[in-house]
Amino acid sequence: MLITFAIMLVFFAGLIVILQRIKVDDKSFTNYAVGDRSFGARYQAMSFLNTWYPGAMFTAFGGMAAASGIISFYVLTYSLLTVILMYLMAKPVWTWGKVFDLKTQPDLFALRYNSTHIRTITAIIGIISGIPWLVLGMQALGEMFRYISLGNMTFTQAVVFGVIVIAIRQIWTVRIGMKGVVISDFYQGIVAYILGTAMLIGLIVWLVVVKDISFATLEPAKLSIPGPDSKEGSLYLFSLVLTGALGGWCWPYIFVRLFTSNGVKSLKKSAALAVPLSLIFCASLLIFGMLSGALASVNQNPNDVWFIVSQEAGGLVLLGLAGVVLLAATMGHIDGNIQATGSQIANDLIGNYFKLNTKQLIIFSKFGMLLLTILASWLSCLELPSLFTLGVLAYQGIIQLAIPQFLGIFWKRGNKYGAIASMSIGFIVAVILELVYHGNLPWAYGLTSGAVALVVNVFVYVALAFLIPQSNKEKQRVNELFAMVAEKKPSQYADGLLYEK
Amino acid sequence: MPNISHHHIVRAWFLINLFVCLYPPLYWTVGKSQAFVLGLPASFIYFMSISISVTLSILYAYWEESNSEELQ
Repeated sequence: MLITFAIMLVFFAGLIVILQRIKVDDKSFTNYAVGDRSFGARYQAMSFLNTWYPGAMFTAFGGMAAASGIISFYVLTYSLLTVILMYLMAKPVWTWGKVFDLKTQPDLFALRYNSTHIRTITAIIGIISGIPWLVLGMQALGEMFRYISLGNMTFTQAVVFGVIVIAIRQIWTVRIGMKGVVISDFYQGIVAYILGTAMLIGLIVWLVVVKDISFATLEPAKLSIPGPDSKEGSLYLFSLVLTGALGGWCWPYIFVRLFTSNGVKSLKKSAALAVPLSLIFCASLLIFGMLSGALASVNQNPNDVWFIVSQEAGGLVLLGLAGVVLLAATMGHIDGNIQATGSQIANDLIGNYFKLNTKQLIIFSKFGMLLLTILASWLSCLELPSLFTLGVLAYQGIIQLAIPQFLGIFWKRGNKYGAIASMSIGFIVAVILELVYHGNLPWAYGLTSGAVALVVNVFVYVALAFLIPQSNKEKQRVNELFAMVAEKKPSQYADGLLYEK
Repeated sequence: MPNISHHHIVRAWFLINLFVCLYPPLYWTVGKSQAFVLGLPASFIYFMSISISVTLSILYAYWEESNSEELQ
């Protein structure tokens, strides 16, 4: 136990040293919320990865690969497809963000649809949907501490310990804001995805050479993809990949990464840097999970595959490193979630209805982060049996932002009526389907409730775009928005166009 | 003119990626197969092929745009 915790302590101390060296700068809310749009491609790439791949990748998806096999590769497919979306969105989103000083995802909705109320609705959906995942992340950390304590901690003690560690970490998130999140993401990302990938490759070699496990030794069922005759349904994989790729950019803490970059070029370069890292890391994790599924010890507890195999292959030192890798990945996700939510509370909820100066915005943001940390910490220590179901439900709900978000970015015709109605109706349909069918729609050929609701969502959005035409003034405003994206040097619009804030 | 053709390649590649990742009859066919090629199952080859294609398309798109000085 001393060895595993000592390794953790070294990693944590390194992180604190880095965070302590960052200068706290409260001169503007833009600096606090999006780090003054100052980050280059390398920081952007690692920050994206550290927010995209949480610690649950090693437990939930590693476990899924071990228990279910090749179907788990859907996470790799949608994680790479989503980088294409990032590449395509980079120019319009960054340009509008720079010109209009946008700081959050709801800010972009408000700009595109010229509506203040859409900012509130988007923020509420984003904040509520994010809480279950924050709590799940904290609980996963507890599970990790229980494991690396070698059974010396009870589950409750381990969860409380994990919550204390992550709550201490949030002191710097609250103090420094986005700069602290992105800079620490770089350090955490190197540990989680560079060291993590090296460990995964080493463990795959160990499984093949020492344990004599290969794809050929796995059960045939673990190598098949659900098709028309499967119990999951013929469109199951399609639904998982589509909702995963679209839904990723609907999370406020992922979307805000588009505003922290110092330019379109850095953003696109970060996509080019992140995509091979993402491929190698995620493919290694899933191959590792699949091969580990052949071990009897993993079969009984597939979600602990990362810890079980690390300990079997490399003893307590490798177990300690496995804990550090998972901690680094988890921290990146939780920090990003808390920071983005704090910004939304100040900017999109309170700031949407009251005129706040920079100091007040930062204070409300810090207060919001503090409240969220306390709320999530408290919830994490409770027995919440339906939390994972709530997390899945939240995902089906948040992807309803995808239609007004992506069509709004790439199609001029959509209007605020369509945007508000489509995401609200889509959200309600997803919740009702989920509550009635509990994630298994017998008539939908494997489509999830969120995917079915997306069909309704897009229909409402497009229908209202044609039924309620934009006014001439609005049409001209939207045309100007799209025209500045088409410019080769959108910086000429530095003074910005006005819109109803 | 060379820039236009590069743009078309990128767009077509992105669309092909979308198609091969999402088109159900394609993964149904692969999913049924129990064949192994060089010790690797067909379903694994399918997922890795589409993943590598997506990765290469983004790298190509960035390389093409940065060479054409379109990115400022």
